[in-house]
Amino acid sequence: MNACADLLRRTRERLDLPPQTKARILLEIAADLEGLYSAYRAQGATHEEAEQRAVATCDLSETALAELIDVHRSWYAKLMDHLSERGQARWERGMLALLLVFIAATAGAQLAREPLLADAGPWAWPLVGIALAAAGLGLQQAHKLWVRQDHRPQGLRAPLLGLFGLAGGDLLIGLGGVAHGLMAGVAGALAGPDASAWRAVPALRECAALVTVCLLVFILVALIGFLLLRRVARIEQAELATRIAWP
Amino acid sequence: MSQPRFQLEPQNLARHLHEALILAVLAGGPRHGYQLALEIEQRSEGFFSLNHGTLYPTLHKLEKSGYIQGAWSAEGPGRRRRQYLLTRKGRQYAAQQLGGWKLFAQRLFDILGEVAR
Repeated sequence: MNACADLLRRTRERLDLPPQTKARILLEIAADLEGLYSAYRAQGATHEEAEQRAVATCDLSETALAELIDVHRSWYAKLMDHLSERGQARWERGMLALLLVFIAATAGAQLAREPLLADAGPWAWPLVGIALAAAGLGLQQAHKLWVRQDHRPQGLRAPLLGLFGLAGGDLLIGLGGVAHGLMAGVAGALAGPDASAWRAVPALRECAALVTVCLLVFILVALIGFLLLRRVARIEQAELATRIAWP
Repeated sequence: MSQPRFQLEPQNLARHLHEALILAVLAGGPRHGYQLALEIEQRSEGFFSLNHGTLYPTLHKLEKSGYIQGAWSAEGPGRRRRQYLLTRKGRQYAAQQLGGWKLFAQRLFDILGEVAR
């Protein structure tokens, strides 16, 4: 299947997309090449004919390639297209540094001050549950992917969706808790004949602690997701490499 | 869930046609990409020949829009294939497309019919 491997190599070079997206598309094309080859052979074509027809069917034109790239380019990539390569690197580094400084400053200040979970109130406990669930899922997947070396395609990406769900749940509960805390704070401040903003301070403090817990849990889940995604992408790229190396 | 809206744009006829053909085949059950192309060709007796070059962008666009759903299925050790199936939203969209195509054909025949008169 040299012609098929050549087509996959050529397409890989032409697809300007992130590695995991590229691997997914190429694996799909590789599978379709095999399917078409078998179908043409079953119709009575010779090996060479079947291979040539399969390759001709799966070859992407420049327009189709551009459309495919456009479908898979993220909003972020589209935004980055407006910047030069040097500008992109600077922008990314700057944003990352800013994000890290912000997280370290808010989380560090809270952690150094007082017990965080006690401050965050009852809404923090479901977030702790999410952190434990994410850690459990991460350990289970790490055992599966690194120790047991179980790389079956069906279950490869499903846990990542679970982690996305946990991250989403963390944000929802965190924001729900903050909204509830703010409303309680406002209601407390306006209660009684002498309305005073000072009475909202404990609620605001609880909200700040809750936001910190929510962000820390989100970072934990994102980190686990990032590590698993990298591993899955490497497994898929290794699978692709074996397909491209068809004899 | 938002209702899909279909508006047939004459300047995008080819794209709409590919979408309609893919959705029509998927209405019969899940298919792999290469099966879609083969079945479209067979069912149209060779009238519509869909190259994968046009198939992949259309399939992936439909998947991103939530009209179809793709999933990997294992085909023997170390082998996988991507299979697509029509979603409920996709079924609604396909039904809307049918209405759009009927109107398109009617308007076209109205104009072409004037030539014969």
